[in-house]
Amino acid sequence: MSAIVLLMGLLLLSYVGSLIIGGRTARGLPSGVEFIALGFAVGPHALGLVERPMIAEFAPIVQVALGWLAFVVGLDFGRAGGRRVRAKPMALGVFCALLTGGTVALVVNRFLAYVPVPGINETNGLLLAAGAGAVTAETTRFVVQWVAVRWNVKGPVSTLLVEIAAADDLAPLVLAGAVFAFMPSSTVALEMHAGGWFLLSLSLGGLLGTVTALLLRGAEGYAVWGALIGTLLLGVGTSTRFGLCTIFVTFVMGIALAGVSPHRRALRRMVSPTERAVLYPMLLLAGAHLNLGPLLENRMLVAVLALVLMGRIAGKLLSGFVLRAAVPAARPAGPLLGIVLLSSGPVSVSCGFVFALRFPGKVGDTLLVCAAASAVLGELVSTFALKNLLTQLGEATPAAMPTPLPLAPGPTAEDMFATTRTRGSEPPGPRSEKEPVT
Amino acid sequence: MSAGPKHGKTWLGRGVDLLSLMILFGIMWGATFVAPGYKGEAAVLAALGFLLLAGTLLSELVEVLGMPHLSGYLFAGIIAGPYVLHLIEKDAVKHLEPVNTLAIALIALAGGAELRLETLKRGLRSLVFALGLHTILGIVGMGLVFFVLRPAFIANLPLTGIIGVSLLWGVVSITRSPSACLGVLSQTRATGPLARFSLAFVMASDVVVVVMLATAITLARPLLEPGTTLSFSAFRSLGHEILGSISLGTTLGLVLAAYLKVSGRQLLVVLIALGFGATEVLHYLNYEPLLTFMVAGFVVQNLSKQGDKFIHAIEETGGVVYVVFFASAGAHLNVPLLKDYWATALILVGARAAITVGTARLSAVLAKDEPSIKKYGWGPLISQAGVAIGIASVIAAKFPSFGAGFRDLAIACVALNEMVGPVLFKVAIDRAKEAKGPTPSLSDAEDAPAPSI
Repeated sequence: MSAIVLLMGLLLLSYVGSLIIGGRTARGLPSGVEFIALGFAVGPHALGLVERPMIAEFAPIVQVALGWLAFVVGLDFGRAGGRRVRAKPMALGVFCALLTGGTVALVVNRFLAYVPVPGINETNGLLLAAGAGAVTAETTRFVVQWVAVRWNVKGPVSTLLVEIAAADDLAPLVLAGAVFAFMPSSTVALEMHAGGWFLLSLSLGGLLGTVTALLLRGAEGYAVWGALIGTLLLGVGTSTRFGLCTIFVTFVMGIALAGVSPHRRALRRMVSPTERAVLYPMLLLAGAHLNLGPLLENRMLVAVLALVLMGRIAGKLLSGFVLRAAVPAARPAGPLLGIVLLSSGPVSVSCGFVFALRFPGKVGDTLLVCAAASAVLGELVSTFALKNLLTQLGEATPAAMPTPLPLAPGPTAEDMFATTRTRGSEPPGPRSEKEPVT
Repeated sequence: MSAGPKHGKTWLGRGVDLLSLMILFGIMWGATFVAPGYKGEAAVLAALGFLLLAGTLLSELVEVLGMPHLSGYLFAGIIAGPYVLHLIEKDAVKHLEPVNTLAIALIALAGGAELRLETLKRGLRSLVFALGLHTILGIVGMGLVFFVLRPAFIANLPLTGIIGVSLLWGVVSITRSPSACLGVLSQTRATGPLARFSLAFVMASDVVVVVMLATAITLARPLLEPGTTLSFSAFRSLGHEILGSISLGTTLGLVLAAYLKVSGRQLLVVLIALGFGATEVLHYLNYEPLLTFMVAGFVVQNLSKQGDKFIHAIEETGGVVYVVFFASAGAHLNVPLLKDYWATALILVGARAAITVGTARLSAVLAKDEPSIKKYGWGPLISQAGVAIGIASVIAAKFPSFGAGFRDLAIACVALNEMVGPVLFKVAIDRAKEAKGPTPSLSDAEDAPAPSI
C-alpha cells in the first residue's frame, strides 16, 4: 500500500468520524477499540497492508493528531455537557485517576524490582511503571455519553460519573508530562533538572495558549483556524524537538486559551466537532503501530501486562469506594461501582501512543499494548456493567431499546444535567435550536 | 484579515501583534538554541506552525504600509528562512512541499470557479487582445532585452545560441502568478472589471505559457544544438496533456458538482483528499494539475448552481494553506543569489515591467476596455512565482550547458517580482476602488451557529 493510499484511507475515516460528532450518537463502541483492531489487522504485524516505514512516515501527522485531541480536551477541561464541573466531583475525578495510576505504577514497579526483565534496566523499569500509571489512569467520558445516548439515562449517579470522567483526564496527561520531563531529548544542549523541563513544558503550553488568545482578537474567517493550527503545530514541533510530552503541552495550551480568551465559547463550538474526525484516523494508526513482538519474545512482559490490568481493576475498585464514601448519592451503586469506571479510551490510547513514539522498543510498545488492552477490558466489562447499574438505580430506561440512530438523537450529557434537576419531567427530545449545530 | 472600519486595528492592537510576533520568534529561536542541529520531522512541524503564525502577524503589520497580506507572508518566510535568520533550515523548507501541492490545487480550483462564462463572454475581446499582445510583445521585447544584455553564462554561446536562449527567456518573462493574483483578490474581496479581467487573464495565460514553452523549446533546440533538426514531437505530448487535463478536469468538476448538490458535507476533507489524491493521479498520468483543477472549478461554477458554495469552501480551506504556501515560498527565496545577480535582474525586471505596462495600455485601447482596465490593467501582470521558476527549471534540465545560470537569474528576477508585484496589484485594486469589506470575525460568531469545519 502506498503512502497516498493510506492517506486517502485516513481521510475517509476522518470523513466518517466528522459525521459522528461529539458523542451525540452511539455508533460504534465508546472506546473506539474497533478502529484500533482495524489498524492492527491492516498493520505490519497482521495483514501487512501498512508497513512499518510507512507508519514511521506518518509519525508527524500522528503527533499533530494527538496534540489536537489533547488541545480539545484542554479547551473543554473542567466542563461536562457545556457546564462547569462542580468542585467536589472535579477533585474526586483527579484523585481517583491518580489513585488508579499510582496503584498500577506501584504494582509494576514492585514486580520489576523482584523479577528482572531482560532488556529493561532500572531506568527503563521506572519509565515502564510510571508510563503504565499514566496510560491506565483515566475513565473515558465517552462511555457514559454512549450509554446515555442508547438508554435515555438521567440521574445523580450518571451525572456524577459524567463529571468524574470529564475531570480525570488531567491526571494521565500531567503524569505523562512529568515522565517525559525526566527524559528530555538527547539532542538538547541545555542541562536542566526534570522539574525544569516540566516547568518548561508548562510554560510552553501556557505561553502558546496566551499567544493564541492574542492572535484571536478580532481574527476573521480562516485566520481563526490559522491561529489554532499554527500554535498547535509550533507547540507539537517544539516539544517534540526537546523530547517533551506533546499532549501535555497542547493540553495546557487548551486550558490556557480557555482561561485567557474571551472567545472561549465560540472556540469550543468550533473545535469540538473536529474531535472525532481526528480521533478515528489516530486510533487506526495506533492499531497499526501495535507491536506484540516484545511481549511474545519476552513472556515476563505479558506478566507485566496482566499486572497492569489487575492494577487498574484494583485502582478503579478503590476509586469506587472513595466515591461512595465521599458522595452520598453514589452509595446505592454498591461496592462494584469501580467496575463501571474501567472503561478507557482516546486519552489512554493517546498516552500510550506518545510513549510508543518517544520511547520506541520494549517500553513504548508495551505501553501502547497496555493502553489497547485496557480499552478492550473496559469494553468487555465496563460498558454493560454501567448500563446494568444505571438500570438498577432507575436512571436508565430498562425497556428502551438502543435508539435508532441518528434519526432520533438521544440525550446528551448536557440534557442529563438539565434533567437531573427536574426529575420526572418528560424525556428529552431532539436538540433545541440553540445547541451547537453538528 | 482585511482592514475595514469594523475590524480595523488600533495602534495598541498592532503593538500586541508585534509583541506576539516577537514571542513567536523567541520560541523559535529558543528551540534552535536549545536543540541545535535537530533534523527530525518535528522541525518541519515547528516550521509549518511558525510560518503560519508569523506570516499572519506580519501580514497584519505590513498592512499599515498599504502592502498586501501576501507580502507579509513572504517576508516572514524570508526573515526566518535558511538564508537570513536560519530559524528554519533548508531541509524543513523542502519538506513543506506537500503544502504547495495542496495550495496549487486549491488556487487552480478557486481560479476556475471564479471564471464565469457570462463574464468571459463579455470580456472575450479584451482577453484575446491582451493575451495575444502580451504573449507576442512580451516574448519579443524581453527576448531582445536579454539578447542585448547577454548575461555572463551565455557569453560563450554562438549568436544562434544566444538567440535561442533569448527566446526561452522571453517565455519565462510572460509567466504570471495565479497564486499572487488570487491571494490579493481574496484579501481585498475585490469585485469589478479590473478584478474580473485580472483573474481571467492570469488563469488563461497559464495555458498559453504551456503552449509557448513547447513552441520555444522546439524552435530553440536547433539554434542551441547545431545538427538537431526541427522536431514537433513535443506538440504531440503537449496535445495529450492539454486534452487529457481538460477532459479529466471536466469529469472531476461534474463529480464535485454532484457531490455538492447531493451532500456537500465536510468539504474540507474532500478538498484535502482531492488536493493530494487527485494530484498524485494526475502526475502519474502526466497531466497538468493546474489546468485540470482550473477546468474542474470552471465546470462547477458554470455547469451547476454550486459555484458560490464551492468558492466559499475553498476560501475557508485555502486561507490557511495560502499563508504557508507564500511563507514557504519566501523561505525558498535564495537571497544570496539575488545579491549575485542584482544588477542584471534589476534591468530585466524593470524592462519587463515597462513592456507589461506599455502592452497593457495598448491592448486596453485596442479592445476599448473600461477605464479601470485601461489605467490599471498591468497591475496583476507583474507578479511572478512558482510557474516561472518551474519553467526555468524545465529549461535548465533540457539545456544543461547554460541551464544553471539561466535558472539562477530567473530565480533572482522572480524574487524581485514576487516582492514588488503583489504590492503593485494591491495598489491598482485600491485605486480602482474595487476592494470590499472584511470577513466576519470570531466575535461575530459568538452568537451564531457553530461554523463548519
